[in-house]
This record gives sequence, structure tokens and C-alpha cells, in this order.
Amino acid sequence: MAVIAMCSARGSPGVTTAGLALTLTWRHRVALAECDPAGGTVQAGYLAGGLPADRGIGELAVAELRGEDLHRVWWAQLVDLEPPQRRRLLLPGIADPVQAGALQPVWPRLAGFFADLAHGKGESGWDVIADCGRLAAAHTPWPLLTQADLLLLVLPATLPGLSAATPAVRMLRSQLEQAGSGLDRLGLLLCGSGDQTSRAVAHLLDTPVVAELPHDPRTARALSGGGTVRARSPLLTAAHLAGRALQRRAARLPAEPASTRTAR
Amino acid sequence: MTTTMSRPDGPQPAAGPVDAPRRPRQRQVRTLHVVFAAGLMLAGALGSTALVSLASADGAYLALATDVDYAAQISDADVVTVRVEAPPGLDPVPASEREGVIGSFAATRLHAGTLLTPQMLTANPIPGPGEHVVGITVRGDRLPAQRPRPGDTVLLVHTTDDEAAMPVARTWTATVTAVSAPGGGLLQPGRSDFVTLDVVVAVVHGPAVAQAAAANELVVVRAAGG
Repeated sequence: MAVIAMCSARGSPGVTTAGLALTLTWRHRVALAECDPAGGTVQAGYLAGGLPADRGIGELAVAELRGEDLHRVWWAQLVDLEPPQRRRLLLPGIADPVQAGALQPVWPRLAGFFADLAHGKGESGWDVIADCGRLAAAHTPWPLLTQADLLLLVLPATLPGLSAATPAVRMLRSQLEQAGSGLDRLGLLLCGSGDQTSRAVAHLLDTPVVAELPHDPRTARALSGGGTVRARSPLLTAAHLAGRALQRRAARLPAEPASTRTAR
Repeated sequence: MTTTMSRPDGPQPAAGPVDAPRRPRQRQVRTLHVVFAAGLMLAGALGSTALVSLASADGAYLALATDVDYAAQISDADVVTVRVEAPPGLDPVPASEREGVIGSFAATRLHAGTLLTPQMLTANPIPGPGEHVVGITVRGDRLPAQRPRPGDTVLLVHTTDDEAAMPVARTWTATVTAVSAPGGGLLQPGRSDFVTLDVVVAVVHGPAVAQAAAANELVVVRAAGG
């Protein structure tokens, strides 16, 4: 089990869409945590606003600030994306970016909590995919990014994407070093159509390309705006393979970053 | 910190994940499906067209315009060309073989309005090799009431008063080729109760039949199936 944090340099390369595609095709029990400080979009998009925004990571932060046990509160803050399986769960993000500031002091604790979910004792392991949004936004959840088992920078394989990713990779490396986490946790997830090969991207950014997701506008539109998602669509098929690649990569890394313990 | 997980079946959580709303499945028009459906329709249309044209393949065949007597030669006026669907189980003569049909002979009695089949015709004139046509004139009381017609097979029975000379009547099987109508051109005036038949008999029986006919000692019997 692993915590996989995803972020993008800037713009809209589709971190949430990629995270949702991975969640819907993940092999194990998985929770998609919307940690984007700009706000969550799955409830309004993929779920087409069909649920009241009365649960999510904001409620979890409030419980933490009150000193409640997150393990008790967590379960009631979720949305089952494939009822009644309880295998693919969504922890909705904040509804208002203003709340991002209030989350800032809670991120170290939430990062530790996610690590507990992934590496907890007993049979209750969960994979956690944390959608951390854009690095360019304010209140980036750095503790979550640096303590994750895998840190994925999502970018399109285009020159503008590379241009934006270059400083982002530099910043992520710097943050990982500061947090004492290994730089090998950083990987690239190529999304959508691009004119650069994955080898060129990996070479230019000096970072491995862990997985690629194809350009599938129809499925991407359904994932981001609601609609029918076909399990055999190119995007979900690739997401399934990408998920397996991510799991293999996470399994090769040390089970828990050393910094996780120090952050608790 | 404990690492106990809250689970849906665990005792601790009062509330669990809420189910994502189920949306009605949206109808999608997929290009591939549309193309497949159109292809299927096209294939069905072509298939049924081929089937119908195959089943209703009509052709031109020869049919009889007039009655033709047994052994009569087929003339041009006797046959007409008709267009009909190929009758299953029947092998009519195609119109293209009209030239070959004209001039051939009727192997049986032919009726107007029927399709001509090869079995109805023979290229050999009647009598054929080894046959004679003998004309016999028979009194009306020595014929069945229903007169024999061309094509009928009849039994010629030689009758005589001299039973000692011929205890068992001699018989010959013959096929009628022509019958004179009572009082018709073939008959002499004053013998309107006599009927003249042309019959085909084997060569060996020809003289005997002719002799018996000349002696007015023949009785004509219609044979079964004749």
C-alpha cells in the first residue's frame, strides 16, 4: 500500500482527471483525496453535483483541529465511487479556496494520517492517491508531497509543458531534500497529447517517466464534467496499466519515508 | 497513535461513506456502432435482393398452343413462348431450343396450355424402326363405347368362329396413332358405324393383324393405362 501524491506545474494538465482515472481502475482498495488548495472538483464534475458538499477533507481538518481521532472521523467523510463495493472512495476536497489557509497547519498531520492508512498494521491497508493540484497555487500541501511514497508531476509532453515542469522539478527536488526524502520518489506522469517522446522528457527533466495517459477527450470530459465512462476507453485502459506501473514502482521503494515518522 | 482503521463493519463508525449518485446511463451514439448498423442493413438488403432474384429467376420456355396428337409432327403453330418462374422439379424446354422442337414428333398426346418437356418429344417419326402402321377398320360394336384416341395402348384380339382352329384368341398390343371420326373422311359412305384406327404394331405382327382386320375378325380392347 502506498501514498501517491500528484501535482502539476501550472495550467491544467488534468491532475484530477488522471487521479480519478487511476482511482477507477486501481487494483486494490484506494481512496482519492482531493488535497488541491484551489478546491475539489470531483463532486461538482464527475459526480455532477449529485451530493451535498457536507463532507470531505475540510471536515477532516476541523476534526483534527478539535483533537478528534481522524480514524473515527475519516470513514464518514468519504464518497463511495462504486457503491456498494467500498473499494474506490473519494475524500472530497474543499469547496472554497479560502479554506486552504485553514488547512495549512493540518497538512503535516494529514500526511501522517494518510501514511497510516497506507502502511497501517493489520489488514486494513489502503492506497491513497492525493490530488495536490498546481504547485503555482498558494498553500501547496508540501508535507503531503514530500512524505508520499511516490510523488508524480503530471505534465503534457509538449514544450510549454516541459518549460513549466523544469522549475517545478527543481522545486520538488529541493523540497524533498529539505524533508529528507529520497529523490527517487519523484516521477513524471505524461498526460494527453504531446509532441515530445517520453524518453526526451525524461532526459530533459532528468526524472523518470513512470506512466503515460493518452489523449482521450471523450473520457476526460466525462471524468471532469460528468457522463458515462466506458471501462474500455483508451484513458481507463491506460490508467489501469499506469496504476500497475505505479504500484510496482512504489513496491520497489522503501515502505515508508523516514520523514513520515519525524513529521508525526 | 493507533493505526486502527475504521471499517464499514467495524463497531466504531456511526456513519460511513455515502454512495455516489447513480446517474441514468446516457445514451451515446457511437460512430462504430452506426457504421456497423448501416453495414448490417446494407448486407441484409443485398442478401434479400439476391435471394429474391435467385428464387424468382424467370425464363422463357416453350408451351403448347394447341392439342397435338400422338405421333404428330410438332409445327411452329403448335408451340408458344411463355415467361414463367423456373418450376421446381420440372425441366421444361427453354425457348432457345424452339428450332429443335419444331419438326420433332409427339411421344404422347399433348394438351394445349402445358409446358413442353423433353420427354414429350421424340426425334424419330412413328412408326419407328421395327414397327408398322396398320389401318384397321372395326365395326362400332367391336370397340369400346369410349373410342380409343391417338396415344392409347390397345389390345387387338383376333376372334374367329372356328374355335377348333384357334382355341386361345391371339392378341397383339398396339398403339393408336390416328382415329377416324365416325362418318369422317376416312370412312366410306354408308359405313358410318365403322371406325378406322391406325395402330402401330411390331413388324412381325403386322401381316397377321392386317389379315385379321381384313377378315373383320378383330376386337379392340383398351388396355389398362392406355
